[in-house]
Amino acid sequence: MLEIKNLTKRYGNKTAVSDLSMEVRGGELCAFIGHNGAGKTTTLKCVAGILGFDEGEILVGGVSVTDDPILTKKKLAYIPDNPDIYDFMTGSQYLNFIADIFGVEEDVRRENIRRYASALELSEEEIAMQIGSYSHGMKQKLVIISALLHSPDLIILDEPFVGLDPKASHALKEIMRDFCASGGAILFSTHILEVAERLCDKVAIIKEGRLITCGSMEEVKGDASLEEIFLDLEAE
Amino acid sequence: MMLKALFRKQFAELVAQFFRNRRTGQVRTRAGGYAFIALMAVIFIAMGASFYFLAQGVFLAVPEGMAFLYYFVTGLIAIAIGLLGSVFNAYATIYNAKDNELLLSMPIPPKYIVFVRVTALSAMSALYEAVILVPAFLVRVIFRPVTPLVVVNHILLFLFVTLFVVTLTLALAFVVAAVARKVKRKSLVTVVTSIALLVLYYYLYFKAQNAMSALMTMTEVPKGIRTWLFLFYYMGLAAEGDAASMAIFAGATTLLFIVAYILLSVFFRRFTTARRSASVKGKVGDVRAARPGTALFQREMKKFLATPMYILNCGLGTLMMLLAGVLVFVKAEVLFAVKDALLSVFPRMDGGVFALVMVLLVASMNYLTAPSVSLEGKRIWVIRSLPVSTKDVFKVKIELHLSLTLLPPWYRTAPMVYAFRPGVLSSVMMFFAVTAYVLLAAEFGLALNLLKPFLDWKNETVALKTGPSVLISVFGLFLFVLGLGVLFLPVSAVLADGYYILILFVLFALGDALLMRWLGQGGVRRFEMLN
Repeated sequence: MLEIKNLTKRYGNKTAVSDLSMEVRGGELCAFIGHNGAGKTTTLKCVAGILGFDEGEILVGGVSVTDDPILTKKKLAYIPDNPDIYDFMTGSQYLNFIADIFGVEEDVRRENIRRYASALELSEEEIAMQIGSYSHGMKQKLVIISALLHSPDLIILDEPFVGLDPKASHALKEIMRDFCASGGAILFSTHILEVAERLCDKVAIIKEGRLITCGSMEEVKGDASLEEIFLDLEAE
Repeated sequence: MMLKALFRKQFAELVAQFFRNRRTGQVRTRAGGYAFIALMAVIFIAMGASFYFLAQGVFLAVPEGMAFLYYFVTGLIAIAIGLLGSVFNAYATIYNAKDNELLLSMPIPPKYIVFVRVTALSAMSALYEAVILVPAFLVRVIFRPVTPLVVVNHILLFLFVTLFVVTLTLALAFVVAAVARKVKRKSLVTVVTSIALLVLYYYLYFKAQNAMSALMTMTEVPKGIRTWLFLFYYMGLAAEGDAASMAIFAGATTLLFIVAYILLSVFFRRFTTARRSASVKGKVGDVRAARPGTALFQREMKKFLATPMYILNCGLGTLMMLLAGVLVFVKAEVLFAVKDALLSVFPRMDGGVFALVMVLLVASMNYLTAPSVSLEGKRIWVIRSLPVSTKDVFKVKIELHLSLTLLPPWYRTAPMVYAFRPGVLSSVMMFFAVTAYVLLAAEFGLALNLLKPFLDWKNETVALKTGPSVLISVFGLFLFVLGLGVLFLPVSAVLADGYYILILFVLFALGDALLMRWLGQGGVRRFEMLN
């Protein structure tokens, strides 16, 4: 579903991501971990088509994000670490806006909004409110719902659990599991290694812009905990 | 100790205004900070000088035996200016200050927080008052001998007029805060209120001239002043050395201030910690599908309608053009006179270029695209992650400008054609030229903003008011249109209006095509590099 080949991204003289290659197949839930400034967000933004890159290739469902960015964006959903969205809209208006852009049928969007809003416990009244009055967690929930409206094949999430209450956090994990069980692929960054260890079947670790390991959870961690492996790799 | 720490914080905040760039948040260099202070000082001295001449005019016009009128008038001007300068500042620094919750979370009694904030507000108000009352005092000293009591009372009046302005400011800011808490459609209320205040300002400005004339010709103090405006009457008397009047004015002002301070201390926590009640009735089931292009356009329009500063800064031209269209009919005789005067100097003109320049000048008041990229701010990830082409994003930004700016100039052009009766070619070409110009202005603003975007703002007003693209759009287009008008003055001897407008249309259309081409290539590249 997602193939990243030799990705290199520079900001001026600084190389944020260097020669990174990895793959996430349909049905896989892949955690992307690394310390602050390692290049996680840059990689995810390149995949989502928000950032251009200097070298390499990114394929979503076999389509290059540089050759046909519109088509690849239709196949994926991106959820950023900081859900800055339109304060001047209500939650409902925002969801309709996103659904319109993706061309989601009215009955499908209604059903999806009900389903995911109910799972994440965002009430009808809250969805009808102005986004300007939302808390961080409510915005995060709204962005997650909006990302799922068009039933994407691939979801890219950057620190998705930040700001979510425990129930919503649990619900999101369930949604992620169900999504992958039905053939979708997920790549998400996180600093919560316990969550990554319990939730994911694949893990990729990035350090100073370079991928230092990527494989199934069992392959990477063996009998140790993910935290131990991560700290060992970081120390090297 | 606690108060000292609070004052130190407040003072640091005040100083930071001079040594920190509001737009970027970056600390200015020491030299830059002092240069900014020097610029402010020059502005204040220039304003003080102009008020000196105003005060001199008032003083010389005061009739014999009505000496109280001098300070009655200058004091009221000082109060009005102080209010205008401070009311929104008071709302922002007292009720809407970013650190209110932080301070309330500490063991600080709210009355201390209020006290420090009100003191800072008083210092700023005193600065505004000084610009008017110091020149007023100088005029009084220079033009008539003063007794020690007059000098003392002027000093006291400076303090108590400032206190009076602070009290009124607190009361008005209280109303603003109460409205902001309750109102659901804040943007609409803000726009309507701002326009109403603008109209009221001009109404009062013209009325004040008549009132001044009436005041300056009266021979005895009217009953209305003694009863309804008694406080200001005593203020005027106090300035002439009347101790009892000074005591009444000082006593009444202090009493009002104490009441306002107590009320503010009591309600401070409630107002500053109340969550905004911005809920809107609706249901999740309220879904209505639209085409992607329509959805993008609706996003731009919602953004515009929900941001009062956007409407007032960048879209006021629409209202002005509609009003100007009506004025052409109502005040047609003025236009006929202008046309006659113009034709008497430049007999070969038919008035078409003049009419066109007037329409384009008003159309230049709208510059909706100039801040449109900057306004995406940190939310730019939304549009960049969606399956829409950058050209489509540009298209709707230009469409928003055209939808609000194209119809009014057409509507405005019609009465101008009626009033000026230019030749057929001029009349027809005016419509084409206006259309091409409005598109040019939209593309120009967008291109400028792509060249100089500013996404890292904390307050939208900064993106709307201070971005280079906005400033260049506002002044650049205005000067460009004026230049086209001035250029025609010598050219009119050899070229008829209609042909000049035809040339302008061709140039505008060429500019449209070139800018469109750049937007589609370099502009797209620049937008796609933003994040």
